[in-house]
Formats: sequence, C-alpha cells, structure tokens
Amino acid sequence: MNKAILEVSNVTKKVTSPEGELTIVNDISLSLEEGVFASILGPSGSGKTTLLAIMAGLDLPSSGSVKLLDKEITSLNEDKRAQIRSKDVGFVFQSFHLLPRLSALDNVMMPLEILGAKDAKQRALKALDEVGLSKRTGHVPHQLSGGEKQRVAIARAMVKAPSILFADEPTGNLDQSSTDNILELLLRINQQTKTTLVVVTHDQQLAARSDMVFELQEGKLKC
Amino acid sequence: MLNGILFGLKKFFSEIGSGDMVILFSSLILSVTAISGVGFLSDRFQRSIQQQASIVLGAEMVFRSGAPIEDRYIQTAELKEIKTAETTSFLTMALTDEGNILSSIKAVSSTYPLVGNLQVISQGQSSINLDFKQPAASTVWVEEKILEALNTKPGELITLGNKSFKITGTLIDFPDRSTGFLSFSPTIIVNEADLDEMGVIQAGSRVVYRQLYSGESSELESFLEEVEGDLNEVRVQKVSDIEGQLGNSVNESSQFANLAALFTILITLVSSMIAARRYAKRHLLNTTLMKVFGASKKFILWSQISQLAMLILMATLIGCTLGYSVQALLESILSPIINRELPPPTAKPLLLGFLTACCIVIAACGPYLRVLGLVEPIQLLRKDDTQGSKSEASIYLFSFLIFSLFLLFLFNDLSLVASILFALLGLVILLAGIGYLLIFSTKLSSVFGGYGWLMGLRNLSKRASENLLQVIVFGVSLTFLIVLAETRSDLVNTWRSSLDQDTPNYFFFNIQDYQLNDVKSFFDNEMEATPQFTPLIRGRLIGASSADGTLLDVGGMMQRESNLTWFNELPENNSITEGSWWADEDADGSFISVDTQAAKSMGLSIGDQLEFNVAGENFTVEVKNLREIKWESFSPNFFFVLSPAIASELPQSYITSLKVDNNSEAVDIFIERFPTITSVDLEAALDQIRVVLDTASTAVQYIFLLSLLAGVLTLIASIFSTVEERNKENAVMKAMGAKQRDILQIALAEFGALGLVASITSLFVAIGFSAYVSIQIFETSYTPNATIIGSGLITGFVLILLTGMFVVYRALSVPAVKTLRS
Repeated sequence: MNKAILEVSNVTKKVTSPEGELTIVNDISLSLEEGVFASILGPSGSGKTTLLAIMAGLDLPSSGSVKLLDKEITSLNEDKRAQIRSKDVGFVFQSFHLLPRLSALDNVMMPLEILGAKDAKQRALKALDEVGLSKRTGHVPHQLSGGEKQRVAIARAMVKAPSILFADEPTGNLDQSSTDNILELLLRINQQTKTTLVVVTHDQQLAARSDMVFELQEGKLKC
Repeated sequence: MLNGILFGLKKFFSEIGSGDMVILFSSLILSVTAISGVGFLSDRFQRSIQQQASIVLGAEMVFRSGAPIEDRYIQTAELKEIKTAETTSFLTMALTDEGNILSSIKAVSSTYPLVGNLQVISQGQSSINLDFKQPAASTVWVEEKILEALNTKPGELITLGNKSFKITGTLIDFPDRSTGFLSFSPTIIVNEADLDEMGVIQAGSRVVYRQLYSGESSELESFLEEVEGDLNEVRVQKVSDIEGQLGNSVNESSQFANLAALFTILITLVSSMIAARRYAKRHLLNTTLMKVFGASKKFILWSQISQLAMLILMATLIGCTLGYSVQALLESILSPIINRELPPPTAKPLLLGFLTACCIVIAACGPYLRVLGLVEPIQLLRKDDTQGSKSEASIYLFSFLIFSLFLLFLFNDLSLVASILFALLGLVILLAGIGYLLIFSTKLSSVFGGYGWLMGLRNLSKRASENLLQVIVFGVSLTFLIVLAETRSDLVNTWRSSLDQDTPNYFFFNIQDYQLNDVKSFFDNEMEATPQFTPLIRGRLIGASSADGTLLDVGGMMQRESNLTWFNELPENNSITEGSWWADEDADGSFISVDTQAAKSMGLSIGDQLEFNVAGENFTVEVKNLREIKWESFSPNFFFVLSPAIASELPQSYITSLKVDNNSEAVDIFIERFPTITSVDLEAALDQIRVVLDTASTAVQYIFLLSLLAGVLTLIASIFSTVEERNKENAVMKAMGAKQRDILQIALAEFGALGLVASITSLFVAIGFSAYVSIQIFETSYTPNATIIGSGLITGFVLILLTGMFVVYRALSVPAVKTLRS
C-alpha cells in the first residue's frame, strides 16, 4: 500500500454572506495515496472548488486539518504554504490563466523563475515538448487555440515536477476534441510520472477514468 | 529577495511595451524633463554666481557711497599691501553728430579692475584684448549698443558732458556691471582724470563712488576692522554679500520656474495614477498566479519594486537628457537678458529628477503595490474579478500626501506650499465647476447631426468623471498659457495706452542751480512748456526712532541712497492720509512727509524721528504727515519730502518731466545745449521693460508647453483606460449594423465636444484671471486679446480632438469579431 500524500480531516469551511453564515464545505475527511488519480464531482455550488483550494493550501478551513506531504498545512502561514506550493504543488485552471504578454515558453518558465532555477529555459522547453507544443514556444496566448492554451498551462504546472497536481475543471472551456486530448495528457502524466492528480470536474467521462471519485452535495461528501 | 529582484528585472523589458507602462514611463520622462530642465538652468545660474561673485564686485571687497569716499581708506589699505582701485559711475547723455543716447559712465583709476578682466577690442583690431586697465586720458571704450545707436565707430569722437573723447575701443565685457538705475544703459569707460572736464558731476548729482580692494582675506579683515568704526555713510560689500544677494534673486526666479514645472509634474501624476491603476489591474492576475505557484509576498514585492526602480532610473536618464536640451532652449530664449556665459551644471538636477520620478512612482503606484500585496491566491479559483479592494479615496489621499511632501522638499517653505495647494484647489474647483456645467449642457443641447452625434455627446456625459478630469488637466495648462501670453506684451501696451495724452514722456535730471533759468527759457521758447522743477537731494537714512526715543527697525530703507526733495505746498497728485501738511507756524521746523506705503513697510507713524545724512551732514526730522502718491502721473514723485526750513540750504539739483512730441528735435537740441543734464526717454525705458517681460514670459510659456504635453498624455491614459469598454461598445454596434463611419462620427462628436468644453472652460478662467491681474494688480484696463483667445480656443480644441481620434482610431483597428470572442 502506497503512502498517503494528502489527508483531509473533518474540514469545514464557513463564510459570512448577506444572508448570514453559509457552510460551503461540511465536515469532510478523505485520504489520497501517492500516484492516484482522484476526481471530485458535484453540481455547481456544492463546494468542490473550495475543497480543492483548502487541500492545496490556497485557503484555510474554518475547522479541521489538512496534511499535505506529511506537513500540517492548515497551521502554516501564507508564506510557508507558498513555499510548499512552489516545490510540490501544480495547478491547472479552467480558464488557463496564461499571462497574455508572455510567450508560451515564458509562461512555462515562470514557476521555475520564482524558485530561482538556473536551467529554467531547458526544463520549460522539455515540458512544452512533452505536451506536444515544441513548435509553439514563441507564441503568445492569443495566438494559441483553447486546447493549446490548456496544454501550455499543464506544462507550466508540471515543469517543476510536483508531487501533486490540482486541476479545477481543466476541460470546462474546451470542445470535445480538445477535452479528449487534455484527458489523455493528464492520464499519461499520472501514469508516467506517478504524480498524484486531483481534478474537480463536471465531466463524467473524466471521472470514470479516475482511480477514486468523491462526490459532493451541498458541501458534504456523498457516501 | 534576490530571486524577486532578478525575476522583476527579467520581466521588465517584456513589460515596458505594455500601454500602461508606456504611459507611466512617458509621464515620468516628462516630469523629469520639466523639473531637470528648470533645475539645470537654476544650477548653472547658481554656479555662475559663485564663480562670478568676485567678478561682479571687480574686487574682493568694495566700499560704496553716493558721496565721494575719503582717500585715507585707500592709503591705510596700501600700507597693508592690499591692492586698490577706484571707480565713479553715473548716467549722462552721450552725443555724436548722429544723435544721443543715455549712457552709464564708469570713470576708472589706473589699477581697475582688481579681479576679472576688461575685455576690449582696440580700434583697428579684431581680437579681444584682456590686458587693458584704463583708457588713456581723453579716450573712451564704449559698448557696441552705443556704436549702433549713434552710428559711430572706433576712431570717431563722442561727447560726454562738456568734453569730447576719441573712441579707441569697443567694450565687450567688464567686471562689476552695475545694478539698479545704471543697469539699463550701455556703458562707457573713461579715465578718472577726465571727470572734472566733463563737468557732469555737480551738487545733487546721482553718482556711485566705489573703492575696490583685493588681497589676502586676513589682511582685508584686519583692514576692515581698523576702518569700520568711522565708515559712516560708506557701505561695505564683500564677495559673500554678493553671493547672498544674487543667490536670493536666483532662488526666487528658480522657485517661480519650479512652480511652472510643478504643473507638469502634477498633471503627469494624474496620468501616472491612471496608468498605475491599469497596471495594477493587469498585474492582479499575474500576481495572483505567482502566489498560486508559490511566490511569497516578499518575492512579489521585490519583483515589482525592481521593475519600478528600473523604470525610475531609465526615466531619470532620458528625462534629464531631455531636460538638458530644454534648459539649452530656455538659455537661448533668455540670452537677451542673461548677458553672460553660464558654467556647466553640477549633478544636483539629476538628483532632483530622480527624486521627482521616485515621488511620482510612490504617489501613483504605492497604493496599488499594496493592493497587489494583499491579493489572495484563492481569487483565481473562485473566478473573482481580480479587482483591488483598496478604496479610491484612500489612494487619492495617499498620493496627495506624497505630492505635498514633495512640494515641501522642493520649496522648503510650508506657507508657500500651503498657498500653492490652496490656489491649486481653487483653480481645480473653478475649472471643474465650469466644466461640469458645460458637460451637463451638452446633455440638454438639441442634436443636429443624427445618431452618431447623439451617441458622441452621450458618451461625453456618460464618462463625465473622466472627461471632467481632462477639462481640469487641459484647463490648468491652457489657462496659464493664455494668461502669460495676454499679460506679457499687452500689459505694457495697455498701460502705455491708458496714460493721459499729456503724461510726460521725458525726464530731465541733474539740472544745476546755475542752469535753471537757461533751461526754463529753453523749454518755454523751444518747446512751449513750463514744467515744474523739483529739487533733488541725495541722502541716506541712517537712523529711526519713535517719539519716545525707542529705536525703530525700518528694514531695507536704512543706509540706502534715497532721493529727497522739499516743497512749501503739498504737490499735485499727492493727498494727505494722516497728519497735516506744514503750516506757516511750522516754518522753522524740521519735518518730513512720508509716502503711506513706504511708511507702512518701514513701520513709521506720525511723530517718529528720522535721521538722514546728506553730503556728510547729519540731521533729524519728525514725521509730520503721510501722503498717498498718484505714481501714474509720471511727475517726479518722492517717498520722502522735507520741510523747507531744513532742506532749502542742502546741496541739490533739479529734476523735471514733460511731454515731448515724438517727432520733435527739441530734445536733441536741448542735449547738445546742456550736455551735463541727463534725459531719460520713458518710451525707450518701457521698450526695455517689455523686452525683459517678453523674454521671461516666453521662457515660462515653454515650461507650460510641457504641461500641455502632459495633458495630452493624460488624455491618452484616460482613453486607454476605457479602451476595452469602447472596443466592446464598437463591436456590439458593428454587430448590429453600424458602419466604421458611424463609429468614427461618435468619436468625432465626443472628442470635439470635449475639446470645446475644455477650451471654453480655460478661456473663461483665463479671461477672469487676466482681468484680475490687469485691473487689480497692475491697475490698468483689460480687453481680451482676440488673437490669443482665438489661438487658445483652437489649440485646445484641435489638440484634444486629434489626440482622442488618434487613440480611438487605433483601437478601432481591432476586428470586432476578436473583441466579441474575447
């Protein structure tokens, strides 16, 4: 049995709204082993993205704890959590979030430059090659198709070889053909690099190919 | 920290091409150009003063007096091996067969000058000789202006007073150039041995006597200590005094020029803030993403700081280079009134340029950097519109505080800074009020050209706050440009035309007792004029005390050469404001009447005692009354009028003024007949004043042109900040069938109307301001100059229309389908 890379214990997230206090995530506990491909399913507003943010250390729960790579991240400050994210965590977003003035290569180099890596360019070129974009390195985002943008975003997330990759509806803005390509790419990464993959999605096809599926309903895990 | 700095610098060159960075960069360059341009020139003036202070004196120490200075000082100094020289300066008419000109005569001893060089081109030579000390007896060196005015040349004769001289050289430059009443007239240098034969210096003549000293500073100090006790009416000038006096006037001029440059800085601050807001908005995604990928707050802060630091350094470098060109332009504009070579500048203006750029970046970008620092990485996942949460009011307040601190640093005067801020606030409120009314009126105006015009005018009121900002920004620049253009030449012209037809245009002074009857009969017979002759007594105020004997501090009037007169009756154009004119029973009393304004500035009141020295004799008089003088009467008027009993026996000459027909040759004949009498042509003096006003205000106008350029930049920044919104509107309109022509018509209507509103607003304020300056300050009438007003209107309108159309036209080149897709 593989070692647990992520352990979520009794996590609850409450926010204050004009209508009063709302519970977005309600007492969720789960555990993921190294190298698994997990999907989080659920309708809009069920708390999927909030749970993803808490697991990745982007947000803090109101109660409960998250252990990522053996570190209790819910007790760390923002800079310490940023340090963990910079080395071990990758992200892919639904709307790509590529920086519009930077080329594909520069976008992929960015996480390495934050780390001060000296071989950032070589590693970024390799990452772009791995996602099939070795001929598009000099293109800026508006010169790329939606699928290509998402592949650049995946290369950016994988370039520092993270232990865990979080993806927030990675195929949500893509057509069917691009969705298939991205899904294949994510699966290939998961299998070849043994990177743990956590994907928030509405896509049943994607969920069906994952090792574990967690379904959320009104902030609670559906058993 | 190092990673953050390296990351920031690496991204700098890809960032610099973005629209907001271009605007921020241009704004910084413009403000650095303005402040360093003024700074370089001021700095060169300051250095010139430091270098020239001893040359300004022609020595290291000077004794100066309106009366001859005793020789014993010279003898004492020479015993201490201190070098000495003497000069005597006064105004008189220089005559040739071709005409006459009022000239400043400097009679010099054989050792003059002690410091600096006389620069003379000798007759028949072309190069400047620097070794000359004193012209030979009966010869003179004259400035080029005199040669031109009298159509003469070296080798020919010129008459000064009762003596004819041969011109043996052209005077190029000389130390101790005069200031004050002698400075407007070109100079002639003569040998002091010729003074008596000239016969110009008589009792009551206005003459400046100088003894020049040069030597070791310790020897000079010991000499001064020895003689200081009995110098009496002699004033001592040292190099340090000259540095201080000239330094003060340069400081005041620099502050005025800084004030003009300040408008450019203020307007570029506005454009920088608009650009910084857009920069921050664009960088919110960037920053949030970096945080998601693990960048710490410090990393982000240092990467932003390094980029802005790079921007500041580059802007300082380019801005100071341009600033140096601006100062060269200003120097060439001011050359008619500078009259000397300026030394190269120090590095101080570079520092000032750098600090200006820092101030603008901190004021404009500081609050937004904080916004970037506070952004939460979770915002990306929540798909929030990554907007800053900091309130606009606190951003404006922060910028205002930084700007105020910068003003304090620049002017080092809290009350001046407070006045500037209040005046700016008043101007902004005025411009905003008129601008708002005009923008509002476009909403109500009936539409005459169809849909395009309707939409354009709607846009004007829809973006009312942005457009109001443009009205204010352009209003400030245009208002000052119009006011400067209106007040420079027109002020002198209006003043001249407002004078009575019979207002005297010639002053004659240095008329001696023995000449009085001849002069009166000349005026009567040749000019059919019987002017009043007023006694003129040269004296020095040496003490002041109140009626109970308490010493009074009367400020700058103390120890200065003053013109005194005496009258039996209160003169015309004078009226008593306090006290009473002397009556018959005061016939033996020692009284004085003082001008009300002068008394106010000296803190004098009725009954105070003033002590004067005239020709070495001291006497005390009591303030009997205060008078208000109608100066514009152009009659000889005096701050101090003595009672007859004390004054009638003092050494005196006479002064008079009269109206002479411009085509009359009577004045030329008069000058030939009475060569020792000095005449002053007021028309010529006014022309000289106009040259100074024109030159100085042209230079200031050039500085204000930079602020107009800053206004253009603000307009571009403002349009640029709404470019996405405009693109979306245009794309939707195109999708609904609007043609390119319709969209251009909308822009034409919007920017045309904005141009008109901004120009009309500035015109209203400028006319009000010019009228206030003319009527209230200069007490002349005011008629708007149609050419200047028309030019201002057209300039503002065309500039705004063209800038707006240029930026919008570029935005229109983005295909509608691309905008709709994004």
